[in-house]
Amino acid sequence: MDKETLEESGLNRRNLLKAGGASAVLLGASSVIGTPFAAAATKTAAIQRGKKVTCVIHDLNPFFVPLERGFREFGKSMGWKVNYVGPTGQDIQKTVELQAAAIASKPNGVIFTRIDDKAFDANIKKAQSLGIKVVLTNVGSKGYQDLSVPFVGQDFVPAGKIAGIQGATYAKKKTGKTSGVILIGNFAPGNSALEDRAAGAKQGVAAYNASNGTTYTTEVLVTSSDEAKASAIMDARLAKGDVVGYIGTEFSHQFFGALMKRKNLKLSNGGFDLVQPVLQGIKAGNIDFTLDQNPWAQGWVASSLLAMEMSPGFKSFSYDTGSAVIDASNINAILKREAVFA
Amino acid sequence: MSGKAKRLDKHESRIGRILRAEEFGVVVAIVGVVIVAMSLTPNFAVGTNVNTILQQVSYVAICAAGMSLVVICGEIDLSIGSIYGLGAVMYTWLSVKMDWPILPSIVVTLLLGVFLGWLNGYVSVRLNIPSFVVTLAGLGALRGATLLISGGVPIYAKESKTFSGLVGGSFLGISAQVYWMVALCTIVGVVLAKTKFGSDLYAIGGNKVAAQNAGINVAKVKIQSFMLSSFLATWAGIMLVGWLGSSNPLTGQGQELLIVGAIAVGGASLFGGSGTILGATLGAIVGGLITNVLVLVGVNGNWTFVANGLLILAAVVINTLVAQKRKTLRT
Repeated sequence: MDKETLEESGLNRRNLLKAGGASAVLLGASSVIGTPFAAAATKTAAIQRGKKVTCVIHDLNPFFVPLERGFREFGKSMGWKVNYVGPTGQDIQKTVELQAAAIASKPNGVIFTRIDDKAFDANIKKAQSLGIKVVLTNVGSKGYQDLSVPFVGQDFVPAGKIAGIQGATYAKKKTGKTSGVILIGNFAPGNSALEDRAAGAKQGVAAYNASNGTTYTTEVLVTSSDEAKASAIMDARLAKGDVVGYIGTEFSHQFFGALMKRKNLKLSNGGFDLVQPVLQGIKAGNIDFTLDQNPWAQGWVASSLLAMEMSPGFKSFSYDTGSAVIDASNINAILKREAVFA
Repeated sequence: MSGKAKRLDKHESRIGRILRAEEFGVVVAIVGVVIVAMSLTPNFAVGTNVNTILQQVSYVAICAAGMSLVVICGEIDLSIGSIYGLGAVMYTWLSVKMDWPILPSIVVTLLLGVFLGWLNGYVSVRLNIPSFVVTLAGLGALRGATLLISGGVPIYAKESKTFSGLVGGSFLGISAQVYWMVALCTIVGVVLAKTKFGSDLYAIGGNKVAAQNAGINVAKVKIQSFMLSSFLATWAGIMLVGWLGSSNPLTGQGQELLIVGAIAVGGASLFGGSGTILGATLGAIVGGLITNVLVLVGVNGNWTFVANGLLILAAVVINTLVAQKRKTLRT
């Protein structure tokens, strides 16, 4: 769901937070007053206890650690029986198979990532037909709205655009050049989220050019989630001497940062996600920025929406986990916050 | 010998045959996993779940059936996962991007698969380069070709209820993929067990020089095995599109390990000369069973990899012990 649709429905983050705050106040008050509110809360908790929820993600990589933590923490607080599975390496067929196995285990609810516009739909529809509640997280992919499922995650094209503008800004600031190539790294071609971010990043660079009279061009560089392979590819591309910056559509900017450090280069470098090496890279100055999409919320909020759907049974809604920019100005606070996931 | 003694002897030889069968290890593994699963979760032995498992393993099983031919004659095809992925992407590229009708797209994709098998076999056999090296090169080159053809993004399949129904639908509550698996594995099994081509494969894998001396055209048979293997992998890739509705450039990445694992668990020797299609199919099933059971039981997903690794090791150990026992009995 895009931001406009979210806002039209009145179901944006602010409203959810308001609703969440109101609920918290209500629950807090009920614990003091000991009135029907408390009884209702106890009843709800009792209903949730023992429910079986499975989360199937598309790739067991470090990015998903906070998501898993958010999912497990919420599940524990509800007394759920939780299961968290996924393939190593992005594998659509394997993800589909794990989803099918999860559905066969007859859970009360499932949380899926949907990185393809079609491949997962049969499983989602099957789960719905069996009365299993479904929430999508992290990646929704085009057309998820047609499945009547909520999505908790980032709006990828606008987030990519922010990254593009940031990348071009730092390219100008660090190299002083007004032309050159900004590489857009992608270690998993075919992942719709990363492709959308890449498209957004191109738009961002173009927007920066239009406003600042620069002529930066963009070039997609297929890298790898393996640092050795990624570094070799990046190093080979740098040899041409025309690169002024790098934007990872995932967390490959950590590899580019390490490479820049080894080669003592001063280029723009940024990307997405908050894995520890990226945060340490910002702290050390090898990485200029990274965009947060709050993976913890993608586990925790997705679970809470699922809980609400399971009991009392309110219809759920989509939730944008944002695209906050993390850079040298706020890195200390973020490092402190993220330390729990290290 | 008295009638009773004859009956006892017959009974013992039947048990001996079972114990010495190449599939013994994998059957033991399947029985073990099923018993554990049934005791742990009531959702396991449900018709829909059994169908789900068979549906999922069908792709590995079909590829493993073809690859068994290559393995039995003492070769290996590490590019099989890439051929599987290329089959999926090439089919959608032809039918969607080039707007070809579905049938010609399938035929041309299959021909490409057969050609790639021929190329692997020809380079390996005629130039005397180990197939391990040739197909390792193929693994990378074909994955790159798949990414180039697709532009790195998924291609969404042309809508066709007939095609989707044939390869991804269901009949009598059983998924189409299961019928394809049974049919194709049976055909390959019969070819292997009942034809001269099949016996030539065993002869070449068992002793290449002796096979040559016996007048078998070793090069031709080996190349044919590669071609058949690639044909089946390409078809499995096309089938996958009918099920998922799209082809992803990363389809089949790592599939070669699942396929080799299924063949090894199924009792084949990776040095050639032994193995059956039934064993490879059961090997594929046991891999799917483990994944399914661990999810059903709610075990941490990372244990799936540990369990699969241990299973391969256990099955190979059992198979080796059985093979040693068989050898002792022969001498």
